[in-house]
Amino acid sequence: MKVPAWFRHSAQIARTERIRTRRQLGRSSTLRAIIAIVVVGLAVASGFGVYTFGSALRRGQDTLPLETLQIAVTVGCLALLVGFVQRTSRLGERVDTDHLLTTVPAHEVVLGVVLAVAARTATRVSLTAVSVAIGFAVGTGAPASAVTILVAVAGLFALTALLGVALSFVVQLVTTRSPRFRRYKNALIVIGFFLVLGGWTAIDLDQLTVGFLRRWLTSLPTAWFVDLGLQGLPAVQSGGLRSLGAVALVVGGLPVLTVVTTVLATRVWETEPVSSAVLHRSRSLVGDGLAERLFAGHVSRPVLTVARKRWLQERRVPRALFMAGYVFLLVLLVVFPALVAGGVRLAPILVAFVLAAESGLAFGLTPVATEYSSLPMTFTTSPGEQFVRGTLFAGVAIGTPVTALATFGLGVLGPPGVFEAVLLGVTGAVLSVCAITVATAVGMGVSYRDLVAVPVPLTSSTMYGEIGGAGFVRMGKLLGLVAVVCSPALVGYLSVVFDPVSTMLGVPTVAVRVGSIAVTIGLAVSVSTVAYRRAVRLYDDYTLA
Amino acid sequence: MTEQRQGTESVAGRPALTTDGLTKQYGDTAAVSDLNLAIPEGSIYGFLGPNGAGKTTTMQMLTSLIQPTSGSASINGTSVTDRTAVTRQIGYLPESPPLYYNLTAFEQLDLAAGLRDLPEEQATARIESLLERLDLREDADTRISDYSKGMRQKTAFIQAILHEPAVVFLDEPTAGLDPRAARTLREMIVELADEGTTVFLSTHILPVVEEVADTVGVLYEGRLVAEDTPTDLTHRAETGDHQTLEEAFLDLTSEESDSVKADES
Repeated sequence: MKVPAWFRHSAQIARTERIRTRRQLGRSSTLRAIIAIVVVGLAVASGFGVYTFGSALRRGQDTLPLETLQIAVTVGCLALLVGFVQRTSRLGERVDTDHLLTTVPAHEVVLGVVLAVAARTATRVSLTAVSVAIGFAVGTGAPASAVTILVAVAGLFALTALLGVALSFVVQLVTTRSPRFRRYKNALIVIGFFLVLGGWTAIDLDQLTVGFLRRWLTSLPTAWFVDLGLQGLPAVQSGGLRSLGAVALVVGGLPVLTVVTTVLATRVWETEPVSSAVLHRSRSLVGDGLAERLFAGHVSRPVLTVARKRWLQERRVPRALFMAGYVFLLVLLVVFPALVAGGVRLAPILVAFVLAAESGLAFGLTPVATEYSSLPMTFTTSPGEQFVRGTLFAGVAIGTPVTALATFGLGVLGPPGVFEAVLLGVTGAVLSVCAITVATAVGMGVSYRDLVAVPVPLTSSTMYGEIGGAGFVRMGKLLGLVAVVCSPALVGYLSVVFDPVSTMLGVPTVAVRVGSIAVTIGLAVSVSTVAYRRAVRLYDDYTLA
Repeated sequence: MTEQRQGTESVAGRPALTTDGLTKQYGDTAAVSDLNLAIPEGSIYGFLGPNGAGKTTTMQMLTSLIQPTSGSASINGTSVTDRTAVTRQIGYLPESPPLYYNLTAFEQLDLAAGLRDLPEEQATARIESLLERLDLREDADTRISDYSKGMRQKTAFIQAILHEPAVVFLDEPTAGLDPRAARTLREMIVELADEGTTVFLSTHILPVVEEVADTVGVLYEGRLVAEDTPTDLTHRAETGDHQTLEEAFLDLTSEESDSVKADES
């Protein structure tokens, strides 16, 4: 059968983009083989697990957790949707529309974009879906369920992919046409992100009932596809109407979304962006301002200029805030259990560790990537000491007061007295400076050749950064070093340590704790000094080769 | 034929930029081989060569952005390996304008002035005047991400000369500019040299070099194959005729190409 030309063109566009992505990722054939083995392994394991569950279901030893399935599918779909929006935005930055639109019709380009965005996920999802469908059908002894599951997965996946691409084009179109939206978009995303973060933390702390969330998630149309998938199971008698709804969504939704996406994409590609000049104004980086009033006379002008530029960049694209937010989520998973295990006395030290590491991650870890587009100017303008001091100052001016105050506040509110609380505040400040300095030194180690354009999470902005595992290794180095610096204080604040040591030495327990803080402060100062020298040396020796 | 820069003969100051056996090797490939230059203060040096000849590599070595494999280079006596000292004396406009796209042109130039610690009032006045000169004043508060290629190029050019450097390196400065802006830029380059700045100019637009350069160097496969005034370079020794710089450039690079091929065979 001859493949229609329009599909062939779209598939070729998608294939080219996939090749470009693969080359950009630069993964070795070994790593790709490992990923493939993991994907296949997971698919097989899922199929086997579902087969076991299906057998138990058939024997009446288990019941179908319909609500849980609906929630899992809905949450999974939302995650996929966000991923598709991001991937489309990333692809939009890269794809050469001028060439494509003067070569093939717009709808072929749009389909090519959809295929490129969805292809890799589709491969992985389809493997697991086939395995799960077969496993479930064999386990339950209901062959028809394999067909209904595959139809439901394929339909939902296609709808999600198209919706993700369409949403991405909507955001791009509104951004292109409205400088006002462009201006407030990042602020809205930050607010939304922290609402999600707050909700997550509240659920984590059992402060928020999940009942309403459960009701909402199971009522969304995505949950209808679970009913559709289970229609092949003779035991399932309900959900017929919702299944029909799912089918109607696929049959009606796919063509409508295709047309809408094509129209949106064409508008995006044909619309000239409205100038930002109508809303923006320039901010002086050397003239009068809060920074100038607070720090002029204490910090040299070139150093202050480096810091003010960094703050202005952050104001325009709050990259540091997002990065800190993501890591905050991860760190919480480690810090909460440590707090539970170590007792409330550990809280100030743990919070100092988290906030210090956050400051380092936000302002120190990507100095070269942040400067990427302007590196020839930066290196031929700022000497190493000036640049490193400016970068440190940008982070210290924001991160250090926050860390010190939070640590001091927890000290005052908790068991330690005021004297100890002040010392804890000082520890927080020193740790923060240490983390930012270490982060800058670690961040200066990145090779110019390893930096590629990557999207800023949840925004349509792109920046340069490392891809693959290297970025995580750097993050690990920073967290590891700050943890080592923190460890004397952490150990000293454990009652199983300070009580026996105090008895053994014949000194009050507070003396043991203060001693442990002193060791941490000493370590932090030493590590900061070494890291600062290293950062300056790396900057001065940095080459673009 | 394009009119050449007046007062070429007056350029005979002490060398502002010198290189001695400057070489950059990437594995077995020599990007630049044994480059020897002595460019007098206040002169305009046209640096020509086909794609991949090593021009950008040379510029990156001279601006301390990459380290030479061997040989040396200095700006007013300061080795280019001492980046901190060299940066005080140079301005650099690379082929891709080094700009922060989420800043406005005014902020970008303000940043450059702040980093160089230029006196505020003087810097603001100079920024205003340069923006005005290059027709950017009205767009100075627009983010660079919204700029055309030419506007970015002009902003980056201003950034490179804002602090009145001793030596300015310009890589394709007129790329993407409309004829009016290109002419203004050429005039500004000549004015810079007249005020004592040494200009190291790399471009493929040969009439620009012919018009403004005091000396032209032709780089081919990493080696300097010719160096002379534009007039002498275009003078055919064998016939006594004159040709254009473009013809001379093509002659030089094809002759060299032939000889290289002959050597290889």
